[in-house]
Amino acid sequence: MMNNRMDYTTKLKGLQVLLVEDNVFIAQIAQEELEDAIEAVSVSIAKNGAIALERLRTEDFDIILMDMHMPVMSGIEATRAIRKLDNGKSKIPIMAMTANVATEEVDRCFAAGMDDFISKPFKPEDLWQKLAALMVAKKMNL
Amino acid sequence: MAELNLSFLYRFTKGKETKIKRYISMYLQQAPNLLEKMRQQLDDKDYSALAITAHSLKPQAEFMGLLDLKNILMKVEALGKAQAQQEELMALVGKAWQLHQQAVPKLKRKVEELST
Repeated sequence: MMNNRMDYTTKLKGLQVLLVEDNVFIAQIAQEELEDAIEAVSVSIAKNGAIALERLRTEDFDIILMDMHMPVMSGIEATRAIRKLDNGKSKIPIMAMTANVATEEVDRCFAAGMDDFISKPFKPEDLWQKLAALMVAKKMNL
Repeated sequence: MAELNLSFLYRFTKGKETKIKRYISMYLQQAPNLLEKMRQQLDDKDYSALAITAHSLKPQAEFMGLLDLKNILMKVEALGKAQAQQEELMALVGKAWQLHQQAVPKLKRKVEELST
């Protein structure tokens, strides 16, 4: 059983993350924290759901961290579109990053096909724990 | 007056001063752009966009411990989504600017403290 930060982040070594976030401040902080904690992590940033979908057509990622409220295409719309992809990427784990953890918002995340959510501002340890859990679940489902 | 409480930022960064300084500087650089965007969206009566921008600025206010600003942004977001009450939105966006401007010298002082 994983029970500390080192265990979680070791499990995440080499993780390829697509961070979908229009807020430059949050994107920079999340990228910096991921790069500080996880060895050889790769973090790509997309400013909205439409850009994320484009990136997914040509690039491979292990996991998507998805903001909910973005211009052009929201996290909900992007998740629905990703779950309909027919290029083998429809099952990629998606974690919502939301500043609104009201029950209705969380329900919308899961209904759209997201796997988990984390509130913003997030606690780094919570993020590592949730990422590790999603990656374990992904391996079990392969 | 805007109350400043950096305890979250200290916890988040585990007290790493270089990070605290950088994150405060990022807020000081980026928040005015979002506040200006909100003012423009209000002028344009684009309330949905206004709600998204207010939502987007909320975590930044929380990172800086500006909980009064965060509460104002929550109201702007809710009213923006409801597409109504232009006058109240004007007052709230004005208040958000005011709270931000009150916090700026305190945040700049903190950055200076951490630089010495």
